[in-house]
Amino acid sequence: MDDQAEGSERLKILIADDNATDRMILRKIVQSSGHVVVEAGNGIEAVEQFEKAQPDLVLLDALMPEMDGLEAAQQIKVLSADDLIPIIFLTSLTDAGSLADCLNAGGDDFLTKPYNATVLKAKIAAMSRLRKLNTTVLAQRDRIAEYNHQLIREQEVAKSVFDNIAHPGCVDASNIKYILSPMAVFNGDILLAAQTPSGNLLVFLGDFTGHGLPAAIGAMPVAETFYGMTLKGFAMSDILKEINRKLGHILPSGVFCCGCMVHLNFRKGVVNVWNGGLPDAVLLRSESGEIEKIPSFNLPLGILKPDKFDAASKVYECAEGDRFFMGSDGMTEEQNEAGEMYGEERYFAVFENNNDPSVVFEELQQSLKAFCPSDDQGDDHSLVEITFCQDEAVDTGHQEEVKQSVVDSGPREWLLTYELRSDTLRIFNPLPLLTHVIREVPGLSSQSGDLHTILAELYYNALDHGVLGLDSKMKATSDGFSEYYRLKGERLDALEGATVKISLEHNPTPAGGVLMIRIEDSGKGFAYQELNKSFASNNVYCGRGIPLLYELCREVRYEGKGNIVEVEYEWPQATVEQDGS
Amino acid sequence: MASESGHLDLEVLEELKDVMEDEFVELLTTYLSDAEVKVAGLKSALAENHHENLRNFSHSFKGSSGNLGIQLLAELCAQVEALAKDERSSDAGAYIDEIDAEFQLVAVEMQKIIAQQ
Repeated sequence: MDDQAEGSERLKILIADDNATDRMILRKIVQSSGHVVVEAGNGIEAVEQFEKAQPDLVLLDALMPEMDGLEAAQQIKVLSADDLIPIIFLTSLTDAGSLADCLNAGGDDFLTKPYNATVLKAKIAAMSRLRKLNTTVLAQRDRIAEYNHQLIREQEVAKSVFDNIAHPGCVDASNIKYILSPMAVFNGDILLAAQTPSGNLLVFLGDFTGHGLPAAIGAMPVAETFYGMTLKGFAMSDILKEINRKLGHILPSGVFCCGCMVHLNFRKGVVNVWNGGLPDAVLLRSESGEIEKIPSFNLPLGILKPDKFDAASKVYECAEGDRFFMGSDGMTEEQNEAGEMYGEERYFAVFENNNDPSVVFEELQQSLKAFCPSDDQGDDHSLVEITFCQDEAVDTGHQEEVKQSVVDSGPREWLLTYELRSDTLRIFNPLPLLTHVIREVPGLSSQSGDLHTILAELYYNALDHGVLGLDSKMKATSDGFSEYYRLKGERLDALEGATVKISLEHNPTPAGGVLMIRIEDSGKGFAYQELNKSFASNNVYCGRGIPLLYELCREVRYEGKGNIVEVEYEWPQATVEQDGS
Repeated sequence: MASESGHLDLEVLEELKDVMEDEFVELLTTYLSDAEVKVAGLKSALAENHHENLRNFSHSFKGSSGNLGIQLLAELCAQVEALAKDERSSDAGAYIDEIDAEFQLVAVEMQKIIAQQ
């Protein structure tokens, strides 16, 4: 009774036959294999029982009154949908055509009369195996579909998180044009832009190796570091070092970030570029229409150990209307239908053939489009153009939100003196720290842009012109410009016994407060007595940013031999004069 | 099990007895009562010259007889089924008479077997 067919589980089997004796014999054979039987006496009953009992297998007589087996089989197959419920036809028909009809109607096998118990048991076992296989395949199909669904849901969530953290900042500023895939973060491309506290623009384009989630994960620490440090006033080199260190720490070997960072000081007409692994960046001069290529001189971020990493940037003098371009290698590596790459030659030819710099960005896109018109993969590259212009003309559209502290709290009456010596002057930028201290004063946190500018002007005047004795007039020519930076590096290296002493003092007033900044350097000083005269005649001291100080501060005093400067900054500002520089 | 006549296939019945175990007698009695219905059905279908009914009854009777190893009845039914399929039911009279006569003999022998169980 219990000799279950090997490997087969207990099945529910529907037996549909109009002969009572045939049903009895079949039932007995099937039950002796351990299966459960449901019976039907004709085709209509068979379909009814099928729906009601949901059997695993059907034994169906081909010729029956009411509804014959062929029609019943067709209905059963429709009812079972995706599930494989095997149908074995019971037939005394032996001609090929009739047997073919059974299979065409949805039968999976047939058993000819008179019945043979051994053959029927073997067939049930075979069908049971087939059914199990089908169940497994269906379950796997459903699981794959479910995983895929889940993956897409997770990617959507991940993307919205990434978009919040790795947002492109002030990339919509009026002087920036860019193309970036909407799914860029999963292509490994990242574009970040922020205004520094002193009103300069810092832009980073990164291209992570790989695609998908592994490429996207690196974007988060890069964005956080970039925005966090820029807001606090850190220099570009410090930000690059930190990003490199973080990525080196986080990313698995073989994953890194090619990137180009550019710092644009519109006021001073200076652009700093660091390129690590991206294709040549391009400076398009508005006067001459000539281009300067800025190749990568560095390894990508996240490869070198901090002590081997070089964050030094190339310095370029820029004039109004000059345009800076950088792009990911997705652009030059775009392939046409023939499998040919777009290539750098075509890319640079666009610049060379250009007559109107204001449309070169569009021309670059058109050129690529003309090269590979079937542009369904056109999402895979990023390109950025930044136009050099007067900073006040830049509408950044997006500002990092500054937390407004409650006016009554925080330090209001204090004095801080901070003296930096040679070893420190060589490598350390005190501005983020000082900006941070100043921002603690209620009412000054919202002025940190102005204050950072003032501090930066005073500090670099003290360091460059005071301690290092560099002449600001050198920067008037472009040869002198690069010579200036060469000399600066040389003299910093040789620095000994030098100091820059910074004193900050804040005192409250009925309406707000006054911040006094006093900087004394160990340099020779300068003939500040001539300052007022030179203001009017030529701009010989323009390089020192002194007019700007007069504009922002209520008092600017030089003392001693010109190596001491003291300024007073009052808040709230007496006049609201935001326009013009 | 013993039978002197050639109307039943004893070997087939022996196998069926193995399969059916304690339901063997029930199988035979079910066959007999079912067969009487079928024979009556064949006769009335012939009288009405109803091809479809004749085909269904003969097909069904052929199947159940074949499964019990009652070969001669199964063959006679097949003849009737073929005629009914060709809509020549009126030609089936002689076969149906033969089925009736043969079934009487089968029934007698089967009753003997039932009695022996």
